[in-house]
Amino acid sequence: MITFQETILRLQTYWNQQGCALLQPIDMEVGAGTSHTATFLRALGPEPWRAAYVQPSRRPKDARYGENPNRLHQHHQYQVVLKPSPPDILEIYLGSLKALGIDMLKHDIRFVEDNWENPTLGCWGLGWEVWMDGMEITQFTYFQQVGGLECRPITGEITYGLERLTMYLQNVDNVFDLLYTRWKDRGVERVLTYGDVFHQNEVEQSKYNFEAADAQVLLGQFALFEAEAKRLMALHLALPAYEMVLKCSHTFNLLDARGAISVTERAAYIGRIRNLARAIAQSYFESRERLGFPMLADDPARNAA
Amino acid sequence: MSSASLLIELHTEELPPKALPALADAFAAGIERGLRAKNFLSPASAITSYGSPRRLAVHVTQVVDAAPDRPFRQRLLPVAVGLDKLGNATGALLKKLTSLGATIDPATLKRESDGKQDVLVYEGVHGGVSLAMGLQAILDEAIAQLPVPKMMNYQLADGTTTVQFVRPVHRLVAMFGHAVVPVTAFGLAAGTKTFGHRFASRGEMAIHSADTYAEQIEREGKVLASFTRRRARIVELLQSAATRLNAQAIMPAALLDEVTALVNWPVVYESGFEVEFLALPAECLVLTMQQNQKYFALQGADGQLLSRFLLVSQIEASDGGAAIVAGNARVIRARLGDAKFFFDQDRRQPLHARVPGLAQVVYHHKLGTLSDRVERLVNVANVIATELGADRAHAQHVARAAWLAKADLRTLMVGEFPELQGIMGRYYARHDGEVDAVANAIEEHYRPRFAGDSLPASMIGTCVALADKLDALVGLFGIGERPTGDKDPFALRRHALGVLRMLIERKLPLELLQLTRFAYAAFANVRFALPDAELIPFFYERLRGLLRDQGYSANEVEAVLALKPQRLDDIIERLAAVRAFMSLPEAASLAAANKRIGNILKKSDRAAAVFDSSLLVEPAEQNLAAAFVQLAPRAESHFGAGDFSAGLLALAPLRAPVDMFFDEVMVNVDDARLRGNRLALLAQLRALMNRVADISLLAAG
Repeated sequence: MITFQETILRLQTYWNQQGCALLQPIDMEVGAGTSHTATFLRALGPEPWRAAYVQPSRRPKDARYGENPNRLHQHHQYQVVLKPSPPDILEIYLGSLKALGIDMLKHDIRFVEDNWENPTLGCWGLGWEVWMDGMEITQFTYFQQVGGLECRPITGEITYGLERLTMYLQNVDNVFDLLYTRWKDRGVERVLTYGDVFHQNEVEQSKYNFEAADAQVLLGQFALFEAEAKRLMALHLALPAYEMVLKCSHTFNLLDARGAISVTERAAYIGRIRNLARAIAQSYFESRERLGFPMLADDPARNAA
Repeated sequence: MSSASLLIELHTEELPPKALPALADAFAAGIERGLRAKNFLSPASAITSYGSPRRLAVHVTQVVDAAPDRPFRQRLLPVAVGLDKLGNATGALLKKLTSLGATIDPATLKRESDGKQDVLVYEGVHGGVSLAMGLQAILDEAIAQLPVPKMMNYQLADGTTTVQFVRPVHRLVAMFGHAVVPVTAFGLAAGTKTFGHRFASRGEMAIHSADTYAEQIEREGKVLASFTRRRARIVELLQSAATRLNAQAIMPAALLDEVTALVNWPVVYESGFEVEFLALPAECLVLTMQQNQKYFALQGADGQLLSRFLLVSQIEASDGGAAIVAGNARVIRARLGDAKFFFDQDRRQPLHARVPGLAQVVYHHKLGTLSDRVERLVNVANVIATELGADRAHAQHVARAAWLAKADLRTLMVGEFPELQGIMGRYYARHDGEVDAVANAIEEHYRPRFAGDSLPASMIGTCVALADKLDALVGLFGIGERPTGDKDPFALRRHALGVLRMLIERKLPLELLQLTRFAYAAFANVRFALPDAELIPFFYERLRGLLRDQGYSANEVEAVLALKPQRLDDIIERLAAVRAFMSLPEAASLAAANKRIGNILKKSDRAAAVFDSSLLVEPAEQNLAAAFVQLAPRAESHFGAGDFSAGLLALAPLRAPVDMFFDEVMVNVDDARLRGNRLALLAQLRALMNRVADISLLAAG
């Protein structure tokens, strides 16, 4: 049986073969792999880019004190971005399912239209949910706009939900029962479950999200991060400013989970984050432009064998 | 010139299922239109459209390889302008010929008379363009005309050229008989190669000829390319599977369409869930199956849902479907497990205990919270109930239902499945021991939820439903949130239609303006003016559409709406009366006369209210007055009794006296007393004729 970490390993191996830079997660709280600079910022401008990475993704509102078999405060995405999106990107993706041992003549794989939008980051794209036997295992998106900027060329984004996918592969109904890894200890078979690794974190983070988080402190932080983002933008420091925006975004998610933001205020907060994200996208694009888009392929040194 | 079949296919990535049927139809229609316009079709040509998840294709029989030559003749210029005195071409003629691309010797131009003078005529034959030449423009046009819901940009294989389409295109097949037609689209040159089923076929395949396409795609490609055939196959498979289970499949048309657009090769499997989940509301089960999972629910002979369902996959699985069946069962178990948790949790707290919590939910920042809204609903629903003569028990039920109407928005289940609002309210109210009338009204107050949906069945539900919609309309119009263009985020058009349908179909003796005032009065703490100047015309605009949709002609509708009827309970009778009246031989003449009277009165000073018979001097006006005096009481009594048809029919005998009046009597005479009296007679006559509708609007021209 494939373990949770073997799912990751096989995907790493497969996408390594496809020429992706295997990156590490962004070391900040984000809701999805899309927020990683390797996706959000690298999708901008004409420079080619291929990357893959695991991204722990926090969704404070989805926290369930470790009591729900499917919902988590923090789940893990495996994120792949290919730019420009190769013409056979769907076939390449299906190759990754094969690498995971999925027999496509036994399972019902379908591409069900699902267009993606992230108003907070000013992004939208067209694509599909990939269904296997009625379950969504991947989100596939052709980016059309990021940070309010038109994508040219477009990036193909593939996002696997690692817990879901492995639950399916292991035939497990409760995420905490997932086999994380196994080993032999003096001849005795030992196992580590997903629950062993993450359950306590789910319980405590849920308590924080819904009970212990101090709304006043968070509101103060939001204002601080927002002001810092603006200050850094004025200094043309797009990357540090972007990190401040990610902090804003996560703080907003915490406030939202805490129920500290009314429906109407919600739209206003999202608007504030979007405006920052747009300004940063523009600023990052211009910074690459000033450098002459150094990763464009016409540099002979880069094309060497 | 020879003829053969033509086949064009765009092979794409998976197309949006809801758009697929329209895209396939439009593609076929566009190619057909283009071929026809350029004379490539023969009268017997048959067009077949194909649409599957990854392809749009069209097959056309009896296409000619070159459009026939077409003779033409064109008048150019008068001879006197085109030729000089010596008979040589003038500059004007040469310029004209050049602009037409004509290489003819001007001396050979024919001459003919255009009735006034001789003109030069250019005759010739347009050589028919070959299919190879003509098809490119036809294809380009057909693609440009496709109803793509949302375009995407993507790059061609070179990684830099950007094109737009609904999804990336990977192959273009264009075959005339056995030959490729050299057209291009999306950076692809046409060929014979395409792909079948992603998983069940052997990869790239070559089409031998236009006529073998469908058969090859089906046999080698494992794709049933025709949308209609695939849909019919799915229905057949579902029905036979249901029959084997001694059950019936619930097959909504929209779900069938969607599933047909999602599979290339339909294979139906049966799966199921634990019987304990049948304790969930049937609506919740069906919603989960249909909307989230695209399954077909099953019901037994008694109409009860079964714990089994049918799913349409596209794989004849190597294990007989065991993995697919088990996988889908796991997915729905997780979903229904969530739903059951919500249902159990929700029932621990009675609905009425959730009402105070509505104060925490903002309805609209200018219109307060849901709690404020519920207070208004109670108030307005009560006023309406009183107007409708509800007794005390009914009035109490109305108030209770209105107060509980929005409480289910605070439940977990509605949080997860917003479509179940109202429906869960009904379940929870029953569970709490509310009386059925109240529980049902909670569900009914959202009706009609969509065009063609049923109205609230009970009067209690109707009162709350009216209050709900009027509150939304008056409040949102009041603060300037009226719909614009195709943007109607608060569904105000639907709300207005709901109000109109209830007033008409339930024959409610309530006035539109009065209803908006009731709703307005409930906004005690919000400052805005009654938006009647905008809202009433908005109602009439919807009413116009509603009645037209019911088959009444524009004239009939306009004639009735011209009177700005406040009550709508008799509007159908008015329309029927207008229709009956218009079928009379006298109608056209009377309508014309009515229009004429209207024009005369418009241009004249105010007439006296009642004519004076002692001032009638001409025989024709005496005659008309006599007819009026004789017919009016009968017509009035019909109108008074609400029998509009009989009332209008009673006016038919006025035709002859009216016609005679206009033939023989001059209205605008110098004698002011006679003139005024005639105007009064006409005004009275017009008022009588226009009791049901503005008859003048039925006049021809």
